[in-house]
Amino acid sequence: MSIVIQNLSKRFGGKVVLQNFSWTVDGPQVLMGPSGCGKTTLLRILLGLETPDTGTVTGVTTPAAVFQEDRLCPQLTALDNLVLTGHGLTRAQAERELRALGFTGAELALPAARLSGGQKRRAALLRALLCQDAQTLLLDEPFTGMDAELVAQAAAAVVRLAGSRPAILVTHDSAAAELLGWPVRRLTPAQT
Amino acid sequence: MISTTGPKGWQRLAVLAFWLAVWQLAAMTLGHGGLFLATPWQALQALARLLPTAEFWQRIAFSALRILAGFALAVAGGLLLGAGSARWQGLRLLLEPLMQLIRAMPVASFVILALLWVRGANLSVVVSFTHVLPVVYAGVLAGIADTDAQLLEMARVYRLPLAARLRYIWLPGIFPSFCESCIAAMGMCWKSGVSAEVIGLPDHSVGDALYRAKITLSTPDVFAWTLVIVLLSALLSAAATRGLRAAKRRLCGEVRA
Repeated sequence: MSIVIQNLSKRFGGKVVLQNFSWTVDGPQVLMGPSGCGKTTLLRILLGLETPDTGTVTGVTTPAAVFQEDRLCPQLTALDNLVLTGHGLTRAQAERELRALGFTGAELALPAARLSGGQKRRAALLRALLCQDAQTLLLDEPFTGMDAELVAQAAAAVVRLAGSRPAILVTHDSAAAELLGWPVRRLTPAQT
Repeated sequence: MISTTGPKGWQRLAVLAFWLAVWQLAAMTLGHGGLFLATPWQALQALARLLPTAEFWQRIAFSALRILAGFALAVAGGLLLGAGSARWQGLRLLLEPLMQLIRAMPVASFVILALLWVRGANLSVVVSFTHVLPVVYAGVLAGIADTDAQLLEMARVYRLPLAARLRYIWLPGIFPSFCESCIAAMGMCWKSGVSAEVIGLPDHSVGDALYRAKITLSTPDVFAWTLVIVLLSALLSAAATRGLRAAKRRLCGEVRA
């Protein structure tokens, strides 16, 4: 199943954010572009959180997402957050992947509110990747707050766990995009 | 410089001792054997006299049962109406003047009206219910407004079932305001409930005992009963705080795989 975006337009007040944007996503792809060119708005439309002014979107089924913010339940541990949205994800599997991305036993016991920014981001990324019924992945700047070594680990996890599902990963980090090795679509203000 | 640490135990005791001394001095100044103002010692003696009697505990049970029943009904009603008002703007508009009216109405006016509709014995149920309801209703509404909208979006995207949304997002969002309102309401329901009993005079109630003490000029008994009401209110507020916090930990703390 592919994500098919046709002639999508969206404006907020007088500001045009997307204009006649079309794209077919039939596997994992990277979306790059400068701030304010509509990347996040596009993902929010795909997630059904914004309504486009014109245009259509098809093929987004049971999505999982990394939002601009981490959006973890603060009172739950990273592990509990993953299991909560995992749709059948086992605790063992979630713990294995969290440990692979650098979580220690002590960090696994902490509520999300007490994790560092980078730890929260990794948990939010794994939440999307490990959601068992997700057929579409929409990842908005998932490597924010990670150092180069962690970005490399996280990118490897993304490639391994995303598989061939239709996925859009938004990043402004060219090095991270290269590590993924996915086709890159550049969204520029001119195109919008 | 403003101190950010709370008072120490000895400081609290010193404050208590200061006010007891003020009370004692005021009672001694007024004189007449404590007729107008009983001394702390007289109040304690009266309390010691009341404590071993079966009638004292029957009155406590009679009043507590009814006041707490009114409280429980109001909490349930406040939750339902608060949730309904957050969902349907029309219901909120409809309820707003009613809640404001109840909040502004003096207990005495309400009791006199309520006496026309219910028996004196059940008066404190109605009065405590009506005084707690707007407080809990406002607390629930504030809690719903405080619930994290971004987490609700996340729940929608991840297709979380309603039970999980309630448990892990709505409840932690609503609980702080809801708890605060319940704790404040617990104190209010005792005040309004006993006031209703003093006017309605149901037999075997705390309010009835307070009234009898007044008409027989047993000022130490008035103070003893007042002390009992204050202590009961404080104890039940503390119990409500602990219970609600434990419930929050139990309900919202851990995900079962």
